[in-house]
Amino acid sequence: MASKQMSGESSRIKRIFTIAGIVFLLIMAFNMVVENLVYVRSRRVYDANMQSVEIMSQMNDRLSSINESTGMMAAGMSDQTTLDSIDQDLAAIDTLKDAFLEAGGHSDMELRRFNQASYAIQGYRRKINEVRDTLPTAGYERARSIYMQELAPLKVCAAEMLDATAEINTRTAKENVHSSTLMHGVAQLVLMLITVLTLAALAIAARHQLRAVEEIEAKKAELREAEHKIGRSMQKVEDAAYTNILTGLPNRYALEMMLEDLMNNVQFHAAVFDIDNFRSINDTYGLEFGDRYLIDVAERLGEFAEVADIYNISGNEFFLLFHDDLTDMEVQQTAEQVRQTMGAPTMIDGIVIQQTVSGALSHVLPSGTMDTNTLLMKLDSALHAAKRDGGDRLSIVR
Amino acid sequence: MRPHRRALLAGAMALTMLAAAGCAAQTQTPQSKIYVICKSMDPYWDTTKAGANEAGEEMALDVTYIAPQSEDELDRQIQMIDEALADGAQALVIAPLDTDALNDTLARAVDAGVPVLTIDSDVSFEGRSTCISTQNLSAGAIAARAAANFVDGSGEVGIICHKANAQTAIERKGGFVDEIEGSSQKADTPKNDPPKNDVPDDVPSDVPGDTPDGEAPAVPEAPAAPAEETQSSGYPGMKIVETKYCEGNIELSKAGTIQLLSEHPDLKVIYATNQPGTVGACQAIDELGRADDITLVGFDYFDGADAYIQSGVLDAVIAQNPYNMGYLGVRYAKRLIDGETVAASVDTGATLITADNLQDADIRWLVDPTGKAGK
Repeated sequence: MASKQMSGESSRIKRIFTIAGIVFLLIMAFNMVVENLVYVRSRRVYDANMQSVEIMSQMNDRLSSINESTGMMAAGMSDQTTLDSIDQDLAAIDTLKDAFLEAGGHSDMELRRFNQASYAIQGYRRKINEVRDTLPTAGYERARSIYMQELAPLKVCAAEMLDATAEINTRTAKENVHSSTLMHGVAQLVLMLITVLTLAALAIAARHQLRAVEEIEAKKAELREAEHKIGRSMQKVEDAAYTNILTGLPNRYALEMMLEDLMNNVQFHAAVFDIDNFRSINDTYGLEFGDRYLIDVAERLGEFAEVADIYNISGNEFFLLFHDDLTDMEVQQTAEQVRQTMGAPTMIDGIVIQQTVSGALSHVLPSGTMDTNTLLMKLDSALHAAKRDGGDRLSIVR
Repeated sequence: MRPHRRALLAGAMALTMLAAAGCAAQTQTPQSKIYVICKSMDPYWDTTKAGANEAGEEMALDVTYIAPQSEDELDRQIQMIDEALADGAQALVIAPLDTDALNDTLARAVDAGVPVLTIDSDVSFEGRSTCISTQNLSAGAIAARAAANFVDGSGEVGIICHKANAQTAIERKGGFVDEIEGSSQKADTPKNDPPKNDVPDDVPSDVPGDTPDGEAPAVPEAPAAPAEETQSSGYPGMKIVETKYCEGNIELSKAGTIQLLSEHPDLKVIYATNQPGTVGACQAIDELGRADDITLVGFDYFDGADAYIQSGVLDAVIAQNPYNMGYLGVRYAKRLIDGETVAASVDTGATLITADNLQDADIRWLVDPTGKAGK
């Protein structure tokens, strides 16, 4: 179950990172598109503005040129060239006017102002046409009056309206560029917001992943602990199976396992010892006392651990498997010492107790036919024979 | 949503709003506050108002247009100037109801750093920055030349004048009389004075678009004209026989015209110096059936003028350009607020409307710049 959860979490985090990557790519792409749009729009606005301003400037230049020509007419200094120049300038103004209107993209305000400039130019043109034949011959004073009172104000008005048109265009262009910049700024902010949110999602995902890793490590530790506990339990079970619970010495099963390895392979000395009339202790002092007496005996046997492996194969029956570096004589002497040690007096709960011990010793040779039961039966038989003979003796099995 | 996530999101949103607010703040620029004060609520001033408002719209200005109910309310106009100043006006564009009476109030404005621009007519206060108006002497001269052209420079002339002592009447009549009689006159050209803010001498004066920023277009220089005074040759064949002063009243003007025609049987030309005078003269000539033998040159276009022009009753009418007065008034006011300079005087022109040009697009716009007639 936990594994499945881990797998699901990991898959979710992978998805988040994948989506985050895609989001970042989209952000970059969107940013490029916005940048490009802003640039293109600003460039178009700039070009249109430059064109409009240039047209207005050229129209004003033409008006100035006409003004100069009419001034020469009023001063009586004109000729056909002057009249031709006026015609050329008026034709050029018409062309520029058409160019402005064809360019398109003008605001209503700009068009309104340009129309009024056009009206002023129309009035100026009409007045020029009215006076172009009479001005050169009107006489200085009257020509000057006509020039100053009738022509000049119209020219000034037309020029002013053209200037206003250019200014409106420039102002509109600035506003458009500003709105583009604003749009760009807003887009950047949105992108920033998306980036922040994506980073937040990544941070959260990373945190989840870290937590998942920590959980996995914790589970692993728990698993190791559980395995360790199981191992110890199994060891205890195993120990319990091969140990006499009362005395803590290896029991009959342990002995059988040992003998299976030794039997028919090597020669060795084995002896079995039993407390004579042990039942009377239980009967007299109780089972608990008897158990403590057995524990005491087992503890005393500990002094022979260097020369033999000691087993407690039944309640009051002990088995010694002598190490193979001892001679028959040494084994026999040791077996006698064992019997004496076990039978030595001891005090338990203030009661001095002493029971004789009988034993049976055998030098086992590899015969190929001996097995554990046979050996034990053989030793038990000798032991019981010793007991029948009065106990407190060591029987040697030949 | 967990608290820390909410905090993160809120932080991001706050950042966005902060930046957006920053962007919005960039777009907000304080608007210049300009007051336009005209002479009355008469519809004549509607076009001035339209011109002022359109200039304000185009230049993103805060334009306030006000006017007394009638031209008799001089005190109210003075009060309006004070109110405008109290309201934080940064420039005053005013059509003064009197040449002298506003001087003290306007001087206070100028002392407070508020430039004053006059339109339509001028004041005697020298501290005003510019006057944007019809040059009435010029307009009278234009009317005279038109009349002379109609009668080939000969014949008796009668004048229907609105006032004997009104400045506009004096100038419109004076310009007419001087042009006809050829008497000596001060050069009645737009003043083209050096701007009061010391415009450099080398500033080109004939190309408005070429002037430095803020320099109002100066009027083109007169062709080779060194004289301070000019001597009009006049029209020797023409004679001004009488001037009737009719108080700018249609009925009085009509009666005056009838009287003129009665008293001067050889009269060829009648010149009316303002709109009621022109209307009265039209009515008289029309009723008398004298359209064919009397040349009438009037002043100020009016509703119904088209019919009189087309029937030959009204041969020509001088049209002023009140739209441009409002438009240029606000436009130049903005320049002055920005510390730039403008010409001391600007002639908005006097256009002669006749049967020949009555339907021209520029004339139609001139007589109806707001398109009111078509609505």
